[in-house]
Amino acid sequence: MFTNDYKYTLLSTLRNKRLIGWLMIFPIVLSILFKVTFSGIYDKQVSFDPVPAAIVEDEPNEAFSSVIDSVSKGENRLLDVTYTNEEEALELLDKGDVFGVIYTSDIKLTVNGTGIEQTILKSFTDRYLVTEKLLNETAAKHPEKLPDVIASMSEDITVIEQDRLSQGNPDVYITYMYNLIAMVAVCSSVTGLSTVTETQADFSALGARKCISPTPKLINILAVLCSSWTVTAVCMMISVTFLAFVLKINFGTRLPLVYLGALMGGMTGVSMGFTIGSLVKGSYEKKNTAAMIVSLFFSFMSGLMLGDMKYIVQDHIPWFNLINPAAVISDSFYFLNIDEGYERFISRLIIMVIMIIVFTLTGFIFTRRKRYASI
Amino acid sequence: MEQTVVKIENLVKRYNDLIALDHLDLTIKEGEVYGLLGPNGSGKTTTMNCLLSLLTFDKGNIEIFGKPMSPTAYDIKKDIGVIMQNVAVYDELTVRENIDYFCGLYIRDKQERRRCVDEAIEFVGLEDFTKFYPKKLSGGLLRRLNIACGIAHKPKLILLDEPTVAVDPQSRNKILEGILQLNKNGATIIYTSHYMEEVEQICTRIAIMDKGRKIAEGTKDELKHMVKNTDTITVEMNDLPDSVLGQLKEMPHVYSVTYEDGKLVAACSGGKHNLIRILEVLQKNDLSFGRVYSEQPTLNDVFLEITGKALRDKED
Repeated sequence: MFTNDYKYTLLSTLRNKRLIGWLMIFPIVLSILFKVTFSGIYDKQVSFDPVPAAIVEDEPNEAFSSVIDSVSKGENRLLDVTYTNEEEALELLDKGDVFGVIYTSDIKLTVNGTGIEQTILKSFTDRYLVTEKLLNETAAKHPEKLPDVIASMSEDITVIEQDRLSQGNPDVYITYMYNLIAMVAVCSSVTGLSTVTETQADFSALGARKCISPTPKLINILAVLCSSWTVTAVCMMISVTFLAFVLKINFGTRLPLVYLGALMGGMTGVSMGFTIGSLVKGSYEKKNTAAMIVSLFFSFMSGLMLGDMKYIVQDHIPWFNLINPAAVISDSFYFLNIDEGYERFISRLIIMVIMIIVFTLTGFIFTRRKRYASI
Repeated sequence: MEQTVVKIENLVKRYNDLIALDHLDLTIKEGEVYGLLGPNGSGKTTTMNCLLSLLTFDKGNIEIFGKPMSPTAYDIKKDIGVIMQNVAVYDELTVRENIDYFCGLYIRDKQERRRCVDEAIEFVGLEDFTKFYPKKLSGGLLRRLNIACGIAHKPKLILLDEPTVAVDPQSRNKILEGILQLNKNGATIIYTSHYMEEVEQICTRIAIMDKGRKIAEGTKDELKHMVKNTDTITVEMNDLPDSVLGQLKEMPHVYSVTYEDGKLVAACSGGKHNLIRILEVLQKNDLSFGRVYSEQPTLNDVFLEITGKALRDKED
């Protein structure tokens, strides 16, 4: 019974042009737009040009100078630095000869605009400031270990450079593509609504017809849910394939894991839709609107629309990023992108699995009712 | 002895302050075509939904095939077919796929299912439309598909809830013939409608419902015997003097005479040759007349007699 139920609900969903259009055409069109809009930035990224920066040595800072030296030398250097005074540095900044001015006294960064280069400079100074604290603490408590820490810090900063050079992944362009996949995954919650609308007697004649059949309701619900999962998974796979092989987006050597993340993300979105559909009473339009509002809210809070939002949330309510499906999905890609190892990626996959289970169980609980007060 | 297929006892269903079903009792025997007739809002569909265990109810018992009906009574459900008032099919599946899908909710065996689907398609006459999507079908064909989806698994009890709403006369006749054929094939039918002609045409027994209550029950003839009116005679004529109208009112078996818009309408109760006697009075008074016709009482008259209102007050 399940096989037949699953087969036809899958067929019906696959033939739903509006849904497939939303799940597949939307990310493809948007990714093409991204490609066209950001291709200039991408070219800059892949050309690995060092970022021009002016260094104002208003106070001697040997540790910082040694770090600057280590990242501004060699063939694949991160920075192209000019040592100068403040006045000239600001003039260079105004002229656009440098993208930022770094003061050695308090590692303050002044930039004149926003962009990839400015982001790299900010990341660099932020990373240094975090490490500097460690340096000072080590100097005070374990001076004998200071050379090791400096060496380690230099390695850390080189990682920024290496990440950029070898994997080419922390660039904003790729991040936009990851965010796009995450947003589509979350918005596939709309697909999950059908699990409710097609199985509830108080919602549709179709649901009523299923409820009066001898096929247990659980099987009916599971069949629709599985077909929604399948369709979303297929659409996510096609979207990632399109990005990787048609738009030639460089996902590095971890493409299979990008597929896995997209698959899990899609399933999370569908399950979330199932829960929303089961909790929100009323018409399909009402459920659909609720699903879209929740999806967009989660997307917004995870920074899929406003880059800094995730960090604001992380500062004030860090736990929210662990229960926000959009944040978890985008984080999985982000960690896959920047981490050498897989620990954080796997942790996000586990959270997604937990979310799928929780959402699905919640949906079942609220739709398991077999008799209705009114139809 | 005929088996009882459906037994509803003392069924009460309330929607807040509104009583949708008011201590309803129904007993339907095997092989019957049982009609539930009543105006919109009389409780017909609510009765069906309670019977199918889709709706909760406040009081009462429901038994189907001698067993208590419940949402998990799958052994009962497998022998029930339902044709809903609203068409319930997948827009993205073809005619054949839709029938196969719904049949698959009842029958696992693929070969048996294929045979059932073929027979259902033939039964409703959709052989030429098997690859059509529902949106490409006319209203009548769509209704036939809806019926095929409900009966493909060869149920022993078939519930039809206003299956001919918004259907053209040709398709309506085809549907009604089909229902009688299903009954001939051994299925017990419960048919709800507010079209009294349809109910009169196909039902072997009829319950008339109003405000959630069964106000009358019986065969078509039994119900018609409940009314005082046995025949209504209409005579079209240009003029009718009051004196003649008075004579007509004095006639035996004539209990109501009116003359409006050139039509003399006499309602008779019992007696024989009423028409001839009325015409004799008119002839004696040297009055000429046009068309003359006599009508037997309808279920609407029964409803009117019992409730004081027409069955089709709210006709759509």
